[in-house]
Amino acid sequence: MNRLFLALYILMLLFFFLDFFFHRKHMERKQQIVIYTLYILSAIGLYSVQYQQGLMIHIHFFLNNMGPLVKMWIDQIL
Amino acid sequence: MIHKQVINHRQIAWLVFSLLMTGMMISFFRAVIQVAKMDAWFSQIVPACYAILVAYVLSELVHAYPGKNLFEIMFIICGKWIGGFINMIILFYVWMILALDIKGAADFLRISLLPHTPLEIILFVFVLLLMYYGKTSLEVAARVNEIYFPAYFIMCFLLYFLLMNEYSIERLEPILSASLERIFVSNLLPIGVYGNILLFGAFLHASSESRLMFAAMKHGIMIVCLTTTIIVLILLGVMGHIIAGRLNFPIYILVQQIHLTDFLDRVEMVLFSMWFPVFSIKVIVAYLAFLVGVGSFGGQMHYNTYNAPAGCFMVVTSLLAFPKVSDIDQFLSYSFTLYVLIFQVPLLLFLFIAARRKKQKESEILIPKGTKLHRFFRLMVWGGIISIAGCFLTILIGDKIGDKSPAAGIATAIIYFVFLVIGALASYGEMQALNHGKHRLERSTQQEDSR
Repeated sequence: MNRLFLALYILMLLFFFLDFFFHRKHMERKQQIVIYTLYILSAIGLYSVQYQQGLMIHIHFFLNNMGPLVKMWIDQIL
Repeated sequence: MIHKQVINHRQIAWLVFSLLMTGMMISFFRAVIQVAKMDAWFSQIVPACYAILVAYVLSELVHAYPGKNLFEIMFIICGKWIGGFINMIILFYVWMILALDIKGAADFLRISLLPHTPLEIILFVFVLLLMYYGKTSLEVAARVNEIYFPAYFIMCFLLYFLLMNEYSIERLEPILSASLERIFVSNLLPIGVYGNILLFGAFLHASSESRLMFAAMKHGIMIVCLTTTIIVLILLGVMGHIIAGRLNFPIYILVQQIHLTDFLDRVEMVLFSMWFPVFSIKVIVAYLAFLVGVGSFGGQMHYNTYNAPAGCFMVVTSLLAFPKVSDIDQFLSYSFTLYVLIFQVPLLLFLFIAARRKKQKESEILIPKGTKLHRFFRLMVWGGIISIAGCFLTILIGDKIGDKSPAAGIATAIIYFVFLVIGALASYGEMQALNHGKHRLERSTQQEDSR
C-alpha cells in the first residue's frame, strides 16, 4: 500500500468525518445513521485493504465466483 | 436538490450512449470475440433489445409514478422493510458498476499511460473527480457530456478511415461461418454492460414525458448498437479474431495501430483524450445514482450530504473489489451478465406489473392522431421495429439458407448493417417527432391560456 495514498486518504477521512461530526446536529437521525454507517464501512475497508490480495475479505472471490461457472456453461453449450 | 433536475431528450440519448458505450471500451470484447470469432460483430442486437425493454419498463414507471425515482417507487410499492431490502440490492448493483469502472479505469491508466504512478493514487484522484461532480447534479453531467459526446462519436466513426491502411476484409471472412449457438451466446455476454441502463432508474424524476424519455433512450441504445458493431468490425478487420481474442485492452491496442504518416506519432493520445471525459461522465452518472440510492435511506432530498462519506467508501471498496486486472475482465465478461439476468429480470417484471396496476390516467398524447406528424411518427416506430426484426432475420437466413460462399456472406453483412443504420435513423426520427409534438402541444396550451 502506497504511503502517500494512506496519508492523503486518512487525512481526507478525518477531515470529512470531523466536518460531519460538528455539523450533525442539523441533520435528521436517519441521515446521521446512514453517514455513520458509510464512515464505519470506510474505516473497516481501510483496515482490510492493508492485507494485500484480499486476504482479509474475499470480496473479489465473492464477485467472481460465478465467472468460471458461466465460462464452463458456455464451453458446454458450444 | 433532487426534484429540480430536468434533462431534455437529446441529453438522455447522449447520456445513454456514454453510459453503455464507454464501459465496453476498456476490456470487454475479448470474451465476445473468443466465443463468436470473426462473427463477433453480430453480438449487439440481443443486448440492444434487452436494453430497450429495460427502457420501456422505466418509461412505464415515469408514467405511473411521475416525479419519483426508482428507489422512492420501491419504498412506495413494497413499504419500508421489503422496499428497503430491494433498494439495498439495487444499491449493491450500482456499487458493483462503480467499483468495476473505478478500478478498471485506474488499472488501465496505470498499465497504459502512467506505469510509475501507484494505482492507489490514480484511483484516489479519479474518486476526487467523482466527488467534485457529486456536489452537482445530473444536469451538469449531461451538459458536460454534450461537449464531449460529438467528438467521441465522430472519433468512433473516424477510426475506420484512420485504420484503412491496416484493414483487411479477408480477416472477417467467411462471414457467418460461426454456428448460430456461438452467435447467440456472444449476444448474451454484452447484456451485463447494456443492463447498466437501469442506472437511469435513479433519475426518473428528471423526466416528465414518459414516451419521449423512452424514445430518447431507445435512440441512445440504437446508436450504441451501431457504433459498437462498427468498432468490433474494425477491430476484427485490423487484428483478426485470434489476436483480438487474446488482448487485455483490445481497443487501446487498436488505436495504437494508427499509422497515418511517419512524423505523426502516438495518435492514440488524441483519441484517448476524447474517450476519457466521456468515460468519466459514465462513472459520474453511476456515482450520482449511488448517492440518490444512499439518500433514499436517509430520507433526504439533498443527496449532496452523502457525497463525502460515499467518496471515502468508494475509494477503499474499489481497491478491495478487484485485486487483479484479470478479475475485472472475468467479472465483466461472465459474472456480470449472470448477475444482471438474475437480478434485473425479476425486478423489471415486478416493476412492470406494479406500474400497469397503478396507472389509471390516460397516457399522454404528444402528437394528435391523423396529423402529418403522427403519420411520420408511426412510420418511424414501425421502421425501427422492422429494422430490428430484419437484423434477426438476416442472421437466421444468412446462417440457414446461405451457401457460406463469400458473396452470400458479404450480402448478409451488408443487409444486416443497412438494417442497423435504418434502426438508428428511425429511432432518431421517432424521438424528434415526439419532441416536435411536445413543443406544438406546449405552444397551443400557451395560446389557449393567453386567451
